[in-house]
Amino acid sequence: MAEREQPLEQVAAWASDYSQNALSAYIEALTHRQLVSDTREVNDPIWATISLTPFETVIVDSPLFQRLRRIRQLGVVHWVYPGCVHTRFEHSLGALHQIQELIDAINRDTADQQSTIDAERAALLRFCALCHDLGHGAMSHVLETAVSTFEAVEDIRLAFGKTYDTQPPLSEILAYYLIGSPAFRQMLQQARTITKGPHPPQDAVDRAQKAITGRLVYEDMPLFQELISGPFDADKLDYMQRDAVMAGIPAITDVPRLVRKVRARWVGRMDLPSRVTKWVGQAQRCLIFGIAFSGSRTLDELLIARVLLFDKVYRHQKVRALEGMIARLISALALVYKGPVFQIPFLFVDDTLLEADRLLPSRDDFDCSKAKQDTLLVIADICSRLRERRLFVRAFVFSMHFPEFDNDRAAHRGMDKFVADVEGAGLNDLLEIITSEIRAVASVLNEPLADLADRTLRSYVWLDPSTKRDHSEKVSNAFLLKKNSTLIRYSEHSKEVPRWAQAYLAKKDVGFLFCIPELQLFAFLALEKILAEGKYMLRVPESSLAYLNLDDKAIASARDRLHDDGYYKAVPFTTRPWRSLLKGAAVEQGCNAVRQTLREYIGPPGEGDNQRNYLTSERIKLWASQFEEQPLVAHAIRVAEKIKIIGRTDFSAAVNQFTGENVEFRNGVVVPLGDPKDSGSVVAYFTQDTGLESVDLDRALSENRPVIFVDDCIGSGGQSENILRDWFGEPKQSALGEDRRQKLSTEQQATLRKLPVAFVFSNGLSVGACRLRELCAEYSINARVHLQLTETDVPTLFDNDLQTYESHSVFVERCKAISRDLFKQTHPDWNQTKIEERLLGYGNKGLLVTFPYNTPSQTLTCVWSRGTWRGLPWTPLLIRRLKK
Amino acid sequence: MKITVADFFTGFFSALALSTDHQKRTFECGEHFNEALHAAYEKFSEAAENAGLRLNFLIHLDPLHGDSRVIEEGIGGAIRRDLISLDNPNFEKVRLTIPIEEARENIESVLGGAELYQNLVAEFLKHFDSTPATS
Repeated sequence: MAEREQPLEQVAAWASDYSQNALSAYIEALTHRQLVSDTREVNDPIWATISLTPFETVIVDSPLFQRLRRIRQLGVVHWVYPGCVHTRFEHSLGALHQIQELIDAINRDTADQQSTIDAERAALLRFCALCHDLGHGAMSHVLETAVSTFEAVEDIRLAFGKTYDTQPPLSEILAYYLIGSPAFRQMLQQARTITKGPHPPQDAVDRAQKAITGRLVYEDMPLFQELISGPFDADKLDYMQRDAVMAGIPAITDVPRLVRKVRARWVGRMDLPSRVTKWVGQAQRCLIFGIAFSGSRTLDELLIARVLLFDKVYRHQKVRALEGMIARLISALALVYKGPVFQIPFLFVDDTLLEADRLLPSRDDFDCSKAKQDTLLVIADICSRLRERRLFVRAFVFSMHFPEFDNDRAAHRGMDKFVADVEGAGLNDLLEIITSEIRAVASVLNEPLADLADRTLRSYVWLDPSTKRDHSEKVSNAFLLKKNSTLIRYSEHSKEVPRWAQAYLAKKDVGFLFCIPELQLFAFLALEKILAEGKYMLRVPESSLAYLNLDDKAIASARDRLHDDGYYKAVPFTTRPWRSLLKGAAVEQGCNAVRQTLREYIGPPGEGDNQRNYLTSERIKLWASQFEEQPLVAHAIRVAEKIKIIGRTDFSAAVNQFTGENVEFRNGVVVPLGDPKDSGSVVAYFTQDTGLESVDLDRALSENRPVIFVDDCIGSGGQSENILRDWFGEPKQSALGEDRRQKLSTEQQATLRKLPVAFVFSNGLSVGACRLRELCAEYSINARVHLQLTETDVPTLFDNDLQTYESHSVFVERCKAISRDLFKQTHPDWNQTKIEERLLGYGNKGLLVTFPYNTPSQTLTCVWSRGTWRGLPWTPLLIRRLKK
Repeated sequence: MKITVADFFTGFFSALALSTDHQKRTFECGEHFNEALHAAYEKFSEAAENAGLRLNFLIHLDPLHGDSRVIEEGIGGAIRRDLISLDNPNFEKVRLTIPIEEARENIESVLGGAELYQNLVAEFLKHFDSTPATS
C-alpha cells in the first residue's frame, strides 16, 4: 500500500510547492485588499455576458488561474484551424456560465418541490466549474496524452484509481492536488474574508476534489458531480459550442434547448436504480437530474455533434501529426529534465514550449551537458519545425477496413497483427524495426538521411493508432425523466445511438505513421516491406494510398530501384510490392486479354485460392512478377496472353470432325477413356452436344455399336497404354501412380477387337497418338486415333512472335531454372534426366494450353506447378490437379 | 513485460472464442457483462502481477452506472479489429467473429501465456452465467 501511495505523495508534494510558488505573493497581496463587493461581467463571444461573484473574481485573478490564459483549449488545433486560439481561461468562464444555466434549469423545474440547489451548493458547483481545468498543463490534452505514455505517469493514474476507486485523467488528478494544496486553501480562505457571499461551503475544497474526479459529493444529490463531469456537464456544454464556433464549423448542438430540457425530481429511495441506492448511503430521498423524456433527441444531437467534431477537428490528420511532434518533443525533454515527467506540462505554457530549445540552457532543472547533445539537437529541431510549421506528414496509413481485405482474409489477419502491435506492448519494438528499415531503404537508394543519427531517427517517426477513446463521453449515462417521475437510462432508451457514434469513428478513424517530410518516402517503403513479410504478410492496399500525399511516380521509381538492388529478394512474391511495370496500362491490358481468353477457366480448387474469381489481374501479375527482372516480367504477361483454352466446343468439334470423316461411327456411342475420376468423363459429357449418346464401356460393348473413346489430351500415350493393359489384364508399363482398372471379360475383349473403335483426343502430342495406334495393333483392336490439335496446332513458348523479343531466350532459361527448383520440391524422387525432360512441360514442347477444369502436364511447367523458387513459394498461373 | 488494454482484450476475446460451446454464443454487453469482466479482471490482475507482468490499466466500474471506460475502449478496439461485432439493431449483443484458428494463434502468443486468459474466461463465464444483477 505504501508503495502504491508513493507516486501520489510525489504529486501532492509537487502540487503543494507549485501552488505555493504561484500563489504566495498573491495571497500576501490579498491580505491588504479591502472588501471586494462588486461582481464582474465578462463579455464572451459564445455566451455574451458571463457574471462572476466577488469570491470568484479573487480566484480568477490568481496567478494559478491566469495561467490558463496561456494554455489553448485545443492545444495544437490552431495550426490547422487558425481561429481555435481560445484558451482554458475562456472555457473555464464558459463552463461557469453553463453551470449556472443548469442550476437555473434545475431550480426552475423544482420550484414547486421540497428543495432545490441552494445558494451554497450553487456556489460550490460554480467553484467546481471554474476550477475544473486547473490541472491542465501546456497545450492541454496534447501534453497530457504525451506524458501519459510514460510508466511513471501510468503509476500515478493507477495509484489514484486504486486509492480512490475512480479513473480520472492526469489533468484531473493534478487539479485534485492543486486545489487541495495548502496555498490554494489559504487563498480561498482569504477570498472568503474579503468578499461578500455567496460562498461555497467551508468544505468546498474537499467536495470539489470529489466532484472533479467523479466521486459522490452529496448523498441526497447523487448526480451532483455529474453536472461537472457527466452526460451533459457544464464542461461539455461549453466546449462543444465554443470549439465549433472558433473552428468555424457548424455547431449542431442546440445547447440552450438541451438546457431547457433539463429536469430534476425528488425520488424516493425505493424508486432509485439499485446502483444509485447503494451509493447514496442512508438518504431516503434523492434529487435526480436528467433530461425530459421528450428531449432525448437533444442527447442524440450531443453525441452526433461530438462525433463530427472529433472527426473533423480533434482527429484531423494534421492535428494528429502535430500531436505526434509534440509527443516526440516531450520524449526528448524527458531525457534531459531532472524531475518527474508528469511535471513537464507545468514547466511551460503553449508559447514557451515552442521556445524550449532557447529556454533550456538557462534552466537548472534541465541537463544541457554535452552528453545530452543529440537530445538537445532534436529538441531544437522539433521546436524549429513547429515554429515554422514544417509538420510531420503521413507516411503510411493502416486500418482493418480497406476494401481489398474484404476477400483476403490472410491480409486482413496480417493487418490485425500489425494493429495489435501498434496498440499493444509491441509498439516500441515496432518503432525500432521501422527506423532500422528506414535506414536500410535510404542506404539501398543511396540517399543520405540528413544528419540524423540512429539514436535520433526515432524522434522523427510517430505511430498513431486509430482512436481508442469511448466517444459516448458518458452521454449514455444520462437519465431520462418521464412525466410520472420514473427514470429510464438514455442508454436503454436509445441503445443504438452511442454505438452508432462509436462505429462511425471506428471505421473512419485510421492509423497513421507520421514522420518528417524528408523521411516520408523511405518510411512508406520501409513499412511496406515490413508488412510484406514476417508475421504480417500483406500487400499494401492500393486504396490506402489515397490517404497519403505521396507521389505515385516517386514510389514506383524507388520500388523499381529497390527491386533491381535485390532489396525485396527475401519478401514472398505474394506480398512483394509491385514493380512499376505491373501497374502500367499495358500490363493491365495484357491481364484483361488473358482473362478474356481464359474466361471459361474454373480450375481445380487450390489451397488459399479464391475459386469464385480465380483468374484476377492480381493473380496474373503475381505469376508474372515471380520472373523478377523487368523484361522477363513483361515477357511473362505476353506468354500468358498466348495460352489457349480448349473447352466444351472444342471437344464437340473433335468428335464432329472425326465422325464427319468416318461415317461408320455416326451411329456409335461415346465412352469416356478411363475411370469416372478421369477427365474423359467430363469430355464425354460435353460431347453429347454432338447428339451422340455417352455410355459406359460395359454398355457400349453389350450394344455392339461403334465405340468412340474420348479424352481431352494425350501425352506420351502412357496413360492410354495403362488403360489398355488393365483391360487385357496385363502389367502396367509406366508408373503413373494410377489405380488399376477393371479387367474386361474374355467376351468383352473379343467384342472390343471386333467393333469399330476410335480414340478421339481434343489435343495432344503426335508421339502419343502413334504409340496408341501401335498398342491397338498389338492388341488387335481395329482402332483409329484422332488428334484434333497436335503440338503444331496450339500456341507454344517457341512461337515466332515470342521469339522476336530480346528477352525470350533468357525467359526460356528462367522457365527451366524455375521448373528445376519446383520439381525438386514436388518430386524429390525424380532423377535429373526425368526433370530435364519436363522443364518446359512434359515433352519440353512448351505448350500453352489449358482446359477449363485442369491444365495438362504438357503445358509449360512454371504455368501450373507449385513448389518453391529461390526459397520462396511459387504461385502458378493455372492450377493442375495432381494424380493421387 | 506490459499488458495493455488492447493486449488484454485480444487475449480475452480469443480465449472466449476458444472456450467450448461458446463460439456461436452472443453476450449482451452492459452492466452484467461489465460486472462479470470486472470480477474476472480482479483475479487476472493478481495472477498477472504474480507472474511479473505489468498491467497499465485498471478496470473500474462506475459505481453509479456500472459502465467502464476501459471496457468500452476494449470493446471498441475489438470491433475495429473484427474480433467481435455488435448485432444490429441495438448493438448490445457481442458476437465473436474472430476465426477460431486466429483465436488459437493469438492465445498461443499472448503475453503471460494461454492459461492466464483461459482462467480469465472461466472466471468471466462463472460470473456471467450466474443470475444477472438487477439494475
